Amino acid sequence: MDKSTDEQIIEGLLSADVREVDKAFTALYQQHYSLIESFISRNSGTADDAADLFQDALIVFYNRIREGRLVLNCTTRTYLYSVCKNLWLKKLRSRKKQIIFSEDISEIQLAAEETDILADTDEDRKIGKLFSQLGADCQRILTFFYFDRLRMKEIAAKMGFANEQVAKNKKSICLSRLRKMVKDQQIDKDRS
Amino acid sequence: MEDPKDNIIDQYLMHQLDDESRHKFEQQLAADSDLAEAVELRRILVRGIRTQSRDQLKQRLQRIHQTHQSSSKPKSRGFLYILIAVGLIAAILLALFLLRPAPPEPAKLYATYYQPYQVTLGSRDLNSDSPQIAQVESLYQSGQYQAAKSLFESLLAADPSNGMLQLGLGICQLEEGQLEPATTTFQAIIDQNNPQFKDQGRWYLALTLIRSNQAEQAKSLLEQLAQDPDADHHRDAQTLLQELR
Repeated sequence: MDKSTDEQIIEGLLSADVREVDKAFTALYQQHYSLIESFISRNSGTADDAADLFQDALIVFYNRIREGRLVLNCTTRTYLYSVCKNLWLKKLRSRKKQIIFSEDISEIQLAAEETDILADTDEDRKIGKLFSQLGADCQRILTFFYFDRLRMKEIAAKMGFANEQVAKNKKSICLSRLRKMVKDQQIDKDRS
Repeated sequence: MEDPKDNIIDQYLMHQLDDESRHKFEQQLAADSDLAEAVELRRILVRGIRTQSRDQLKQRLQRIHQTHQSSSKPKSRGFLYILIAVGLIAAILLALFLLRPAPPEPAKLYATYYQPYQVTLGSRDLNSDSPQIAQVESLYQSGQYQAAKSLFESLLAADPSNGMLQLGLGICQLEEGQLEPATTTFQAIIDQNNPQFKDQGRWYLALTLIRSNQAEQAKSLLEQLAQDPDADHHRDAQTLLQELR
C-alpha cells in the first residue's frame, strides 16, 4: 500500500512532470480504489462501473487542483468518495434504478460546477475531433496550456523551446490553425 | 505572433482575473461586439480542447488501472487459503529460485533491446532534396544526436504530424537522456494512431519507461505488441516481457 500523504499526492498532481502526476494517480488508486469498488458493488454496479467512475472522479480531482479552484477542507478520500457517490447517483437515476445508499462514510456537499469537466456537448466533441487532427506538437502545447494549465515557461521546457516567448508564439499559431479548421468546417456546412 | 488580446481572453476564460479586472473586461465585452465574438469562439475552442484532452487522460488512467489491477492483492478469505498453499509450494521452490540468475536490471535490459530506429527521410511526405533533410539524416546516422535533435524540431515545426520526424526526435531525446520529453514524443506518436509508426511508438515508449524504472507501465505496451502477431517488434516484445516477469 502506498503511504503518500494527501499533501504529497496533491504536490504530485501539480507537477509539470507527467511521471510525478502518474505516480500520484497510482497512489490514489492504491489508497482509495478498493473503497469505491466495494461501494459501487454494494449499490447495483459492476467492476467496470467502478473503474469508470473512479477514473472520472480522478479527472475531476486533477482538473480542480490544476485550476487552482479546489478548496479542500476534507481528506482526498472523502472528496473522491463524495464525487463518486454524486456521479453514481446521477447514473443510477438515468438507469431508473432504486437507490439504497447505506454507507457510513463521511462525505461533503459538492457544488454543481464541480464535475463540469465531465460534461460535453456534440459541439465540444466535434471541436475535439478537429483538435485531434492538429499536429502532435500543437496538440501537446494546447493540452499543456488549457487542460494541464502549465505555465508558458514550463511548456517551453517540456517542448525543448528556446524560451517562453517561443512557446507563446507556437500556442498562438496552433490556436489559429484550430480556429481556421472550425471556421472552414462551418463554411462547408453552410454550403452543403 | 501572439495576439495581444490572447492573454486577457485566456485569463478571463480560465478564471484567472481578479474581480476588478474581470468586471472591467466584461464591460469591454458589452461594448465591443468583435471582442465578444472572439471570446465566444475561444470559449468553444477551449471546451473542445479540454474534451479531447480529458479523454486522453482517461486512456492514461485506464492504463494505470490495469497496472493496479494486475498488481493488487486478492482480498477474499478463499484466496488466503490458496495463498497458503501457494506459499508452501513457493517455499519448496525457493531454493531452486535462489539458484537461478537474478532478473536483469532495467539498465541492462534497456541496453540489450535498444537499437536506434533507422530513420529514412526520403519518403514521399518529405522534400528529400532539402539540404536540412540531408543534414539531419547525416547527423542522425553519425550519432550526432544533439545537433540532429534541433534540426528535427525545426523540421517538425513545418510538418508537426510527420511520424518519421517525430520518431527521429524521440530517439535523439532518448540518446541525450531526456527521458521525459522522449516519453511525451513517443506517446504523441501512439496517440496519432498512424499505423505506420504506432508500433514503433509503443516499442520505444516501453524502452523509455524501462530506462526510467517504470517497468510495470512498460508491460502493458509490450503486451499490446506481443498479442499482435503483425505488430513491429512483436517477437522482441514477447521475449522482453518474459524477462520482465
